[in-house]
Amino acid sequence: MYYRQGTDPASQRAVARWTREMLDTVLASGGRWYLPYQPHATRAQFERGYPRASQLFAVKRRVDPTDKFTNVLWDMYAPDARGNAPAIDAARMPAVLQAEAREQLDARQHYYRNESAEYLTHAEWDLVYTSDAYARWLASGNRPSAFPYVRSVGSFWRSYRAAERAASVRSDVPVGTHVMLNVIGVSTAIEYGLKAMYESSLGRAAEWTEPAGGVAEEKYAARVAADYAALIAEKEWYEFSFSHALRGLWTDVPLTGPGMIRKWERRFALSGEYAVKAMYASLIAMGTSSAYEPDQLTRELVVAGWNDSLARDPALAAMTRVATLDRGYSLLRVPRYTPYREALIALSAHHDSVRLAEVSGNGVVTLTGLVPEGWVAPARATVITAYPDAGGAARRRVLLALPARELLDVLATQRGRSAGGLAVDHIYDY
Amino acid sequence: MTWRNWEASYDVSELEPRSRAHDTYVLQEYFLPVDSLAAFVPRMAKVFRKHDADVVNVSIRHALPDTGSFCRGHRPSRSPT
Repeated sequence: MYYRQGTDPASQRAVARWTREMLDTVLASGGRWYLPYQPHATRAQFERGYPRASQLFAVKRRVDPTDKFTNVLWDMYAPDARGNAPAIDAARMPAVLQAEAREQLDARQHYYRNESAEYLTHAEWDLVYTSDAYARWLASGNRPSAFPYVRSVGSFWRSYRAAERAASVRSDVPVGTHVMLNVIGVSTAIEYGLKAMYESSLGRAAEWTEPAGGVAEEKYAARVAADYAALIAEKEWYEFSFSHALRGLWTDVPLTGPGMIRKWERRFALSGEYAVKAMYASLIAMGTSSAYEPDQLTRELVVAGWNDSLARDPALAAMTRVATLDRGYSLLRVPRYTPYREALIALSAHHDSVRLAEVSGNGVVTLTGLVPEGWVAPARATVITAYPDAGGAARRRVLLALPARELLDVLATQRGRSAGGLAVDHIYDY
Repeated sequence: MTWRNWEASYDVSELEPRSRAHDTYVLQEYFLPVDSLAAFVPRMAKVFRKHDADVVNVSIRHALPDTGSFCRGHRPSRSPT
């Protein structure tokens, strides 16, 4: 029987489900199946179809007591000396999850996420990093006219294209994701384009009149930029209250002081920016609330080797075991965003005894961070895109994709290299 | 018109998709006793339809019984599909 299937995780799970149902039908008709293909059968199905396999496993245990030779069939179906399915440990975690654990996960709501989300979320986050770089730029007293606005727009579209290319190898990217990314991409291009034009003409002219130490409006703008960068790391950009920022500019910042020309130039420029953004944000918020359901704030991942002493470790307090799966795998729930990164980095200290099997039903994890000159990607990771950081430091931002099962090892190695390693900004959480 | 078997007879790669990155083609084999084959076929079809499996081809062949191995697919005096 020859069939076609998608290579993405959701298609693979669908095939496993109908195959198990087919095997029940085959067994009911007194039949068997050819074993060397994908191990979709449950242990119960295997034992029913191949009752004499226990004799084969007994011979194997005698001639190869340390399991020097093994394969997926052994990983899936070989019992231990007492006839039980052995618990999985991190050192010998099979490449695929056995049918029983998969069935337990299939029965859960909100566990599975689309693989393509793991790649495309980077494009959105790229704007967060740019906003953060912009806030740091203003906070260090740099001239707003010298910020790399155009290059930042370029880095968004480059990230989007690279992530899209990587994601669409195995699965189609949902149309809604493209719509959302194009809306924010075009909006950002317009915003930064206008800013670049304004700051390099009128803005720069007013900069010439600026007194030493700048004007109060600039310090206010830097503070708003920092608040905005902090907010969008956790929430949607349109949840930022630009009208509040506008009101604050006119009520909290003194109307007179040194550098009157620059003061009033900034005052009008910032007022225009905040007012337009306030209107645009309320439009987007209306459109979004009707188009999307609110997202879950946690994600779930499957690990081998989790134990009670890890559960008591305060550094891992964000991780909660929500289920113990077949053969000792654990399903952990982790809050998203920064706690997610912190929990995984803390868990990587135990990479010799704990191993990630999958995240939200997927085998791939992407992460981003800044790397110094001459940094070489770990052998098991793929660099999806890399570009200079907008903040101007001699560091590059990289987007890496790697197998979930290698994540803790890679994090531990990079952390060990304190100066020359990857400074992780985000481990994307689907 | 292209006949699949003629194409396959001189270059099997003619049947290969351009890429297996997005979709792939997979084989499964079941061994059924000859006398239960007729009843099995409609049950098999029902599973395919229920799950909307993208089945390209089902072929039936006869295999001789395997009497030696511990994990034999086809038992003595029975036959496979």
